[in-house]
Amino acid sequence: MNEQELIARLKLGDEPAFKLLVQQYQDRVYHSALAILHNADDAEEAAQETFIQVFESIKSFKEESSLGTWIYRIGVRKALEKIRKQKTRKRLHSLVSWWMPSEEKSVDAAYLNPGINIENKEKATILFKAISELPNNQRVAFTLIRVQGMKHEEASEIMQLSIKAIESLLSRAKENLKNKLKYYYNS
Amino acid sequence: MLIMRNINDEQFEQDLNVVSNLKEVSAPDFFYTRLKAKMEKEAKLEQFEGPLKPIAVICILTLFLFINSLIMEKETTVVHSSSNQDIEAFAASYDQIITN
Repeated sequence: MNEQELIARLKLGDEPAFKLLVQQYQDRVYHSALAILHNADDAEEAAQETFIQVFESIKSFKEESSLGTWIYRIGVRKALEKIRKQKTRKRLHSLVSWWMPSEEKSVDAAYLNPGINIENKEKATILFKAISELPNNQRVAFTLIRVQGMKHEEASEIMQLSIKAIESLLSRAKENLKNKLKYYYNS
Repeated sequence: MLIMRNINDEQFEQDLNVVSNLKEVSAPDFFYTRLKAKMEKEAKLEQFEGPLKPIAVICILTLFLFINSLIMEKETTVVHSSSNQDIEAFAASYDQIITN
């Protein structure tokens, strides 16, 4: 089934087509969410919410971009929503700690990723922690391009920014990371 | 102890390569099954909550209006009583009697 057929069937609410779509994109969406969120549970939740959103709004998909780019865009938005919610929760917890249980999330992306060698796991954990402290748009740009290996053009489509803006975000992200890593590493 | 260290560009790029172009991680097993379960749960919740939403909004608005009217009424009474007291004090200072 080609993409056009898949979209047409999805717009009709066809369940097998939705299953096929999930099977086609679940790994990439999950990987993307994990790269941004650095936590397996959060990444799975964000990936699930992405597909729910895709199912609910496929009728409004205007096919101005490819289906994959559109799904990725929703995925990134869902991951960022999760980060925002976590920040709000943290702020609320600092105000009413007696009412809200604390929810410390570990940076486990380095340990889940089979692409990282055992000897580099510790360094990767430090790097992921530094990446998670970057401003959201720098974090996403850096993750899509450097961690996931996407092209600047793809990242620009997903983030709906110009290639120049992406390059600028990437350069600022690297500068910020460099400054952060000065403090993280032991001499 | 963490010590500040100057990192040169080459070293920094090497460090970044640790997390660069990572191999794709597969979604957890039974991802679709769990997704469907979540969608069904949300649909059921929506079915239950859907008709209740306007009722809840109306109740909250009514409560808000009721509290607002109570506060306004209280403020008017305070203004009335305080203005009466002022007139009486003014009259007393000139030895006048006020009759309604």
